[in-house]
Amino acid sequence: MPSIDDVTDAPDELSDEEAESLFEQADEVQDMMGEVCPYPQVEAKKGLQGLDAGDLLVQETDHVPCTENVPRAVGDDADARVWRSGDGVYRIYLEKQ
Amino acid sequence: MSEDVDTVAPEAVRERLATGDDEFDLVDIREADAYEDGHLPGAEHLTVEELEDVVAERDWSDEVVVYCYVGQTSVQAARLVEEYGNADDVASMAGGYEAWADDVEALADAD
Repeated sequence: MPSIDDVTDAPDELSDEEAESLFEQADEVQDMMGEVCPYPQVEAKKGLQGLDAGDLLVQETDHVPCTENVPRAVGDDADARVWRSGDGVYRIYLEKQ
Repeated sequence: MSEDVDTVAPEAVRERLATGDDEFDLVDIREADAYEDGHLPGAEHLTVEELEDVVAERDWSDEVVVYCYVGQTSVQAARLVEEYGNADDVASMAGGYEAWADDVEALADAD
């Protein structure tokens, strides 16, 4: 079946192990389940403003387009990677630059 | 990488609708309550999930314009229609409903 995931340009993907390890080290986690663009983009920008370089912000989302649109919105402010759970949950890892 | 879809300005959509041009499919992919609060004339509401369900089976018009809140998710939705649908031209409306509302407001202020 066609999926929006097929046409979403997400950043590089993390393995399950990397994702879990990094998640435990996250400086801030934002629950964006059920939220759609542009709210997660706004919250990601606000979240990064409160962090220092090297800190990690993680967003959990079930809205696939966020995996492209959130990294694009924060631009050079963060290095972005994504983890797919396989059951509709995604995490966007944003390391502040 | 997916190919980027075309974008169309809200003014261009408004001008087409003003001439009575209904030869294109106009799809609003925002949440249902946002659509009920206000939408472009003639726009059809489909969530992203509904779009995934119907995109391959449906007989699309030759031209399709998709819009969302700010013109970001509509890019992925337009790619989906372009990839799996039978339309010739698919575009995302730049700036989404917010830009449309601003355009309409500016037009009203100018009158």
